[in-house]
Amino acid sequence: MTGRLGTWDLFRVFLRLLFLQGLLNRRGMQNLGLASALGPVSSKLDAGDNSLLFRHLSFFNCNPNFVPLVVGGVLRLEEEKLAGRPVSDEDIDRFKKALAGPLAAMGDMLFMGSAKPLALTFACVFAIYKFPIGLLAVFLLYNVTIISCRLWGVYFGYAKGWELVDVLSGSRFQKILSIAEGASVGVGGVLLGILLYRFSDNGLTMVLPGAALATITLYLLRRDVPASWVAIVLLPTCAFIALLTG
Amino acid sequence: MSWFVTLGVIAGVLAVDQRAGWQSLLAQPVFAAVLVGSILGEPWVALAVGVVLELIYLSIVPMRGAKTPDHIAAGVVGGGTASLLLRHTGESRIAFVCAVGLFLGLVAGELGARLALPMFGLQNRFLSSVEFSPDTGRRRLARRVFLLHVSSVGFIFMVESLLVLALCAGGYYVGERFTRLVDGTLVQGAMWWGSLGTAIGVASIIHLFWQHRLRRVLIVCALLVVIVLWLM
Repeated sequence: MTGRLGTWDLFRVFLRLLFLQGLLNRRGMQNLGLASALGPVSSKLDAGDNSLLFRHLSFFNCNPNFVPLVVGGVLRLEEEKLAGRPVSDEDIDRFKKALAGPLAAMGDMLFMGSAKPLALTFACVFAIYKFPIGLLAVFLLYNVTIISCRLWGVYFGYAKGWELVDVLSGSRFQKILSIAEGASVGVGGVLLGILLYRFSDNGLTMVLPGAALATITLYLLRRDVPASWVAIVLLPTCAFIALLTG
Repeated sequence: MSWFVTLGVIAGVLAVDQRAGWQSLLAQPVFAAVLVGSILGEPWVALAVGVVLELIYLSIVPMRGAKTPDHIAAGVVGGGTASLLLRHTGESRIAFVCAVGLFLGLVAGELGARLALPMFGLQNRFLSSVEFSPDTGRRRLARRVFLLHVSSVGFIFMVESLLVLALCAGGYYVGERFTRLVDGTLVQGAMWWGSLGTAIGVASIIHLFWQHRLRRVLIVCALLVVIVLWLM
C-alpha cells in the first residue's frame, strides 16, 4: 500500500463490511453500516475532527457484495483530499452516488438473480442424490466467491480510486452476467429433468395428479400466490381424499 | 428442552448470517435442515425435508424485498422436528415423519415471517430515528456507531432464537400428538402429500426461469436429462 492506509486497515474495513446489513434502515439504508465500517480508519483520514464519519452518515444503498468496491474507492479519494489534491467533499459524495446505483442493479442481477439460484439448484440436485460432498462443495464455492469478491473489492477500489468509474463501464461485466445467467438456467433445466424423471417413478396414479398440481401451482404462482401456501392447503386436501378413498 | 434451546441458538446464528452478514446460504432450508439434522443425528431425514422445502421456496428467491416466508424457521423447525420425532418417539414410518416435518416447517416459515415482522419493524424504526450530535468527538462517534452495530446484530440473534425456540417446541408437541393419534388412512394421505411436494417444486423451477430470455436452455437441458436418465 502506498497511501496512509495499510493492508491491515483495509482488512478491518472489510471485516466490518461483512456485517454491513446489520444496520440496514429505511431512512438511510446502509448509511450506519458504512459509518461503522469506516470507524477503524477514521482516525487516519480525519483532519482531527468527526467530519468524515458525519459526511458518510448520509443515505447510501448498494448491493452488499459491491459495497466494498465503493468503500475502497471512497477511502482512496478521502486520502487524496487529505493529501491536498483537488478533491472536494461534494466530489466524494458524487463518486459514491454515481457508483452505488449501477452497482446495486448489477449486483442484484448477478448475485440474487444468477449466482444464488445457481448455487441453490446445484444444492438441490446434490441433495436429491444424497451426495453431501457435493452439497458441501456448493456451499464452500459460493462462500469463497462472495467473500473473495468483497475482499478484492476493498483493495481494488482503493487501488483504483477515480479510475473505478472507467473500469466498471467496460463490457466485461455483461459477459460475466451472461455466463452466470446461462449456467443458472442450464442447471435449473437439469434439476427440472431430474424431478420429472424421478416423479415418473411413482407410477401413473401419481403422475397425473402431480401434473395437474404442477399446472395449478404454476397458475397460482403467476397470480402471486406463494408456493408454500399451495403446499399447506394441499395437506388437508390429501387427507380428505385419503379418507374418501379409504 | 435442551434440544429446543440448541435449535434456537442455531437459528439465531443463521439469522445473523442472513440478515446482517454475507448470506452464506446456510440459512436456506436445504442447508439449515442438514445442519440441524446432523447435530440431532438424523441428517438424511432432515435432508429429505430440507430439499422439498427448498424446491417449494425456489420460486421466492429472486423477489427482493417481497414478503417471504422465514426460511430459517422453516428449515430449522422442519428438519429439527422430523429428526426429533424419529429419535424420541420410536416412529418407524420415515416417509410419514418427513411429511410431518415438512408441513411443520412450512407452517413455521409462514408464522415466523409474520411474528418477526413487527420486531424487525421496530428495529428498523429505531435505527431510522438515530441522530448523532455534531459535537460528538470522532472517537466517541465511532464507538457509538460500533456499539449500535453490535447491539443490532445481537437483537437479530435474540429475536430469531426465541422465535424458533417457541416454534420448535410447539411444532414438536403438535407433531408428536399427530403421529400418535393419526390412523393408517391419514398416514397414507400425508405420504401422498409428501410425494406431491415435488410437483410444487417442478412448478417453482418453471416459474423461476420461465420469464427468462434463456428459457429454451431450460427446456433443452430438462429434456436431455430426462432422456439420459431414461436410457440409463
